[in-house]
Amino acid sequence: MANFTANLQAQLVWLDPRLLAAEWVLMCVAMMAPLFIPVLHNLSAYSFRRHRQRNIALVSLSYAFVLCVAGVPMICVAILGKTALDGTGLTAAAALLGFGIAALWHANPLRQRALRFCHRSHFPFLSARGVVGYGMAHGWYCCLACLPAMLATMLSGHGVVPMLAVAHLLIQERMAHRPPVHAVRPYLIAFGALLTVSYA
Amino acid sequence: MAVRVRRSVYDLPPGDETLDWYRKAVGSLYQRPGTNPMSWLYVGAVHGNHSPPTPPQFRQFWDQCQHGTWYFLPWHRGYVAAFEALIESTVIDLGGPAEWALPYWNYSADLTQTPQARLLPPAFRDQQMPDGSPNWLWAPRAVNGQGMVQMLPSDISLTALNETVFTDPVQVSTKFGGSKTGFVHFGSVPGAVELVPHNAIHRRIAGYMADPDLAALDPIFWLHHCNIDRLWEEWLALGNGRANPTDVHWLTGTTFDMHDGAGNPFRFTCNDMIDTTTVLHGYRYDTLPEGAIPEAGDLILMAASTEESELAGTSEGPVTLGGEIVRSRVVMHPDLVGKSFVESALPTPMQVYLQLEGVRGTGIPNDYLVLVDLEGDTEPPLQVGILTTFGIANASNPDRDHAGAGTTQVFDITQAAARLRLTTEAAPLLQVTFQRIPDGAVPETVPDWLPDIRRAPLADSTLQVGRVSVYFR
Repeated sequence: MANFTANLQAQLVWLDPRLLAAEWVLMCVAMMAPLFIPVLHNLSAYSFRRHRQRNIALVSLSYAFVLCVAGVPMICVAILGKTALDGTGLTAAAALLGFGIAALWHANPLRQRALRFCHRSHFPFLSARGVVGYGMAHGWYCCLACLPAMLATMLSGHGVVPMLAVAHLLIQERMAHRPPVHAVRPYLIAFGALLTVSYA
Repeated sequence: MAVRVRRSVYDLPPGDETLDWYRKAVGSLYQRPGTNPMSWLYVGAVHGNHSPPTPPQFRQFWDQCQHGTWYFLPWHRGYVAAFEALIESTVIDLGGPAEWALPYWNYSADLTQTPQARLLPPAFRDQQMPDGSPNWLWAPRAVNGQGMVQMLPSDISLTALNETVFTDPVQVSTKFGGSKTGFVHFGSVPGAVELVPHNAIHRRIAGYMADPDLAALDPIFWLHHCNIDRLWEEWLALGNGRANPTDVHWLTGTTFDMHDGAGNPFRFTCNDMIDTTTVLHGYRYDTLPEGAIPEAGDLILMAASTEESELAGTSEGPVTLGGEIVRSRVVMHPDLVGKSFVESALPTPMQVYLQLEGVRGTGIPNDYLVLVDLEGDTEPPLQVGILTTFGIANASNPDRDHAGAGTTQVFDITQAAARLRLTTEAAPLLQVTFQRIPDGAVPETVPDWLPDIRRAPLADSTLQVGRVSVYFR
């Protein structure tokens, strides 16, 4: 416990909150922005011309707000995880476990429903309030669908390679021509394991 | 094996046994267990599972029908061809002739040439044969003893054939074949031919046909879809730039799995469905001689409709449809007041679309006629289309592919707008009237020889349009 406390203090001294926030934002932009572009495209088509810029700004900000709020506990979990595992040699194992949990989460019906919401493309009402609500709801469902995979990415070292790899997987899944089936995705586990091992 | 010719059910020659063998084959398929890919219940579940939940081993094959998508026509072509092959093999097993061909029901035919075109073909009407044996072609439907189906002229309209584009790349307008999507059981924007006559006929026949999870259990379903498939060929034969998509996502981007006439799984893409003479056993239609479809030499026109659409007006809130008549007002955007879009100075004729967005519902709600007029206008409203509800409950289910977003139904109202002199200058408000189309009576009980399809009671019927919008292009 004393070792953990010392590690935590060392991590907190070493970690700059601004750096952490910047890393989180970078990861969100890299992984989520490509998934959000179709939403902006459709929103634009369904908006009055003079409201398009406003609506795009509102939906982007509200979506980003939810992701930022979700980032706080994610960063805390990542710090605690790294602190607990620092020096134990189990970092790669923890990341592997994270990818395993993410893969299992992919097969969960709740996650399937969240992903389907992310596929939705119509916007019933486009008042400013409606657009903000839609952006926040979309952010919430995106978090439900993707946060475990993002957490596993953070545990694996927050590197560019796993980030791009997971982003590629998520985009592929979103763009899939068949809806996801209720089955564990073994390739995700294998891919996560490969990444973790190669990173460790 | 020769390419078989699909004929109109009302043009079958006297003494023709096509429907007799069809009836016997259906009866035979009914005797097989629903887990057999060569059974009636299994084939019906491929369109929509009538007895959920779907066992894991059948998820690849059941609940596969494609609606509200540009895969609607090719998927159903494969489905109907596979069914035709199954019936043929069953007919042969029963001692019948080879090369059985599915007839089509052309309910839109000219009544001067086919006076009975709107009537359900006689072979499908009676529960029993004259000798008292079951008529396996019977199913619960809103049809009287004379075969009368409550078809409105707008239900059998072929205005969809006037579309010259298969899929609209911009998506805010309907086109012949449906919107670009991935694999989707119930998607967002149906094509014109899917709305009318396809959806409308499903709803007017009612009974099993009104519910996509039961529809393929009605033997008339197959004659109906054979006709829709024929309309695809007719549309291509009209030429003038009409062509199938050349987008690789449509051609080969998605695969579909079924069983053929021997019960063996097979996989196909849209590219495999383009030439009917090479689809499984191969077929063509009697109304289209060989070579009737022109070479797609003018594909540039297919994707010509890329101009950006612009939202011009919306309703003030969602519209709940429940009564006989429901009215909604579309408020045109103030920025556009004074700009006449009918007499536009743009180089290409501007089009006007009425779009019903986020149409969601439960149960099996009624269809509605959609009419437009100007508020305070003394002229009668002009009908611009039908809001069809076939499959609306599936499209509204959050656990289905489309997360319950409902459908979007689009009507080209350019001509109506011109007749109304609907300029934003004169008319800041467009009145949209929804007039309920009553359902015919469907028998509540089925004879003992039909299998008892145990389904959870349907939810009460509700219907709502999320937003009524007008778009300029």
